[in-house]
Amino acid sequence: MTADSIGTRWLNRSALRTWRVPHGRVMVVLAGLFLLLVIGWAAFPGLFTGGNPTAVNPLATLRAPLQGYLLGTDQYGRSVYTELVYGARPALEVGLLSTLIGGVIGSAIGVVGGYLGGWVDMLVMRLIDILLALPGLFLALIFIAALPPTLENEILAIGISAVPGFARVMRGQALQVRSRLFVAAATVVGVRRRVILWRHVVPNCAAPAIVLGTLNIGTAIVIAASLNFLGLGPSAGVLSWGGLISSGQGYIDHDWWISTFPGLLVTLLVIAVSVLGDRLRDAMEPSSA
Amino acid sequence: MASDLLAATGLVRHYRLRRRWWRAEPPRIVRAVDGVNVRVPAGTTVGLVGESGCGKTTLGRLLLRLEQPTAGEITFAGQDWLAKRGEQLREARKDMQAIFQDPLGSLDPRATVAQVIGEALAAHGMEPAKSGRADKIAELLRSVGLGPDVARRYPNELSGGQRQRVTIARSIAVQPKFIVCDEAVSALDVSVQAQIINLLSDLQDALGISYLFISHNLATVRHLADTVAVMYLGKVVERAPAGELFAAPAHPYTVALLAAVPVPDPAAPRIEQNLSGDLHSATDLPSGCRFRLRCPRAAEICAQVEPPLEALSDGHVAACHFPHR
Repeated sequence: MTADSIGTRWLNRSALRTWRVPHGRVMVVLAGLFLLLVIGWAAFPGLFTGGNPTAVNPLATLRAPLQGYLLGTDQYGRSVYTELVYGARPALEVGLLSTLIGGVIGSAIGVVGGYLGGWVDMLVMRLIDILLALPGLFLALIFIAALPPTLENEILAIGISAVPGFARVMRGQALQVRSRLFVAAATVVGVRRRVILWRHVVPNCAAPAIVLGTLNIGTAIVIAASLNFLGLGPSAGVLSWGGLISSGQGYIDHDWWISTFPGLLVTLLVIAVSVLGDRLRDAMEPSSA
Repeated sequence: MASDLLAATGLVRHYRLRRRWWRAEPPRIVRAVDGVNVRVPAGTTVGLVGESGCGKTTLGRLLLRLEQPTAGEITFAGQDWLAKRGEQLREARKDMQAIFQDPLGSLDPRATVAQVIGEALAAHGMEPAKSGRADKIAELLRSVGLGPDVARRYPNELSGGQRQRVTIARSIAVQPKFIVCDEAVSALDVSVQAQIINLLSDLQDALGISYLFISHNLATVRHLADTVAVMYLGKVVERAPAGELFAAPAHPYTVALLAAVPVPDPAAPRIEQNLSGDLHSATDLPSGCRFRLRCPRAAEICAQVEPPLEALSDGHVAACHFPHR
């Protein structure tokens, strides 16, 4: 055994290197645990807090964190922690469902346009370009302003705002798959175009769609919080992190915790989702088989 | 002529290169296939040889209707092949199959062998029953020398030779009359090449399939082909029965190609006739004969008159002003 290997035996450098990179295992584990926690909040809020998110307590308004309440109370004496826990379910619902809607519609438009090509592709993609010129938040804003303020419509509006992004990426993917030899081979054999689209083009486009979907969940949650902050979205009865940030806005110079904790939570959740999405991309992209 | 399974006449495929609007020049055109006649009599193999970029593959794609020719006619199985469209074309494709150079690329990485072959059967309503289909797939796999267990595998779990056998099984699944083999063995190891060539030859004897065997490798063509056509820059420059072409090549290009084939005998006399220069660009062809700039026999007339394909003997044609005799 050489001196070098003795000297480094207790410290496995390659392992160290993987643990050191920002998107290495530590980050992935932390992100996963954090996401599990938020999912736990959404699924069983009663397990994480004994309080009632709408219980007003005039005797305990604007309490600082750790003064009997973990994250303090707001101007009505409601526990900020309890509100955050109960806000997880609508937030995740918006993130997942709007991504599902936008992902399915956008991918369908993109894949069909890319595979068929020609004037269909041309027409659809120019429309998508117009939508793509507007930022996602603005697009969602237009739709939500036109629709009655319910959670379903918020999901729909945010979903529609994700359509152009999915369509653009999936069209590129379909164009690339279409030119691959196995599509020519299936064409020569006499397989119907519909079958080629479903059995060959769609499965070979799926991996990037899944990665994009994961990353989009975070974006959708931020857009939802932004809309709620602006006072748009479900009007009453639905707790939202964005609404909480907004309601604490007037107190931020003295009672900072009302806005800060929901803001921090949204930020951490988006980071966690994108870390996991990046990891998923690394796992799915190199092996095309 | 009546016994020809496939007859293509005056086949042309030009690609127009995109012109830059700020440049005052005429649009540049790539003449990938520039007036080619091909005849494939039923039950025979026609070899098509030429170096990279001479238009062999484009010709194959035109015949397969993967691309639309700029001009020309194709008669296949007694019918106007280019007139077929849509569903009619899809059904007719059954009769003309293809084997491509890259077996891995021509199989969907996300489909099993059974799915790939089953899909070919399903496309033409053959063996619609589930149980019968599995037996049929196993039988097809056996006929190309593979075991029934291969059916469950994915392409990345197979060797190069096995993959090419799978693509052959897919092709013969629909009982074609004609198969375009585009460099079908070029990507394989030499020992595997021989196996695949023997397999193709056995299938021809058993099923009476005709082949267009496209290759840059003269040795493989020699094994399979009854007739050989030599292509240069989008045109056929010589066509002859295989034996005659190899024994008495007439066109200087064919002579040079044959001289480039390595001979496994160090004592054998070598004809030194290496070609100078690269394949000429297919966008701006030389005047007259397109081979003249690389031709050792080029003379004045070659720059002025493009030599037509002329018969030298029965079934042997060459496009040269000074053919070897």
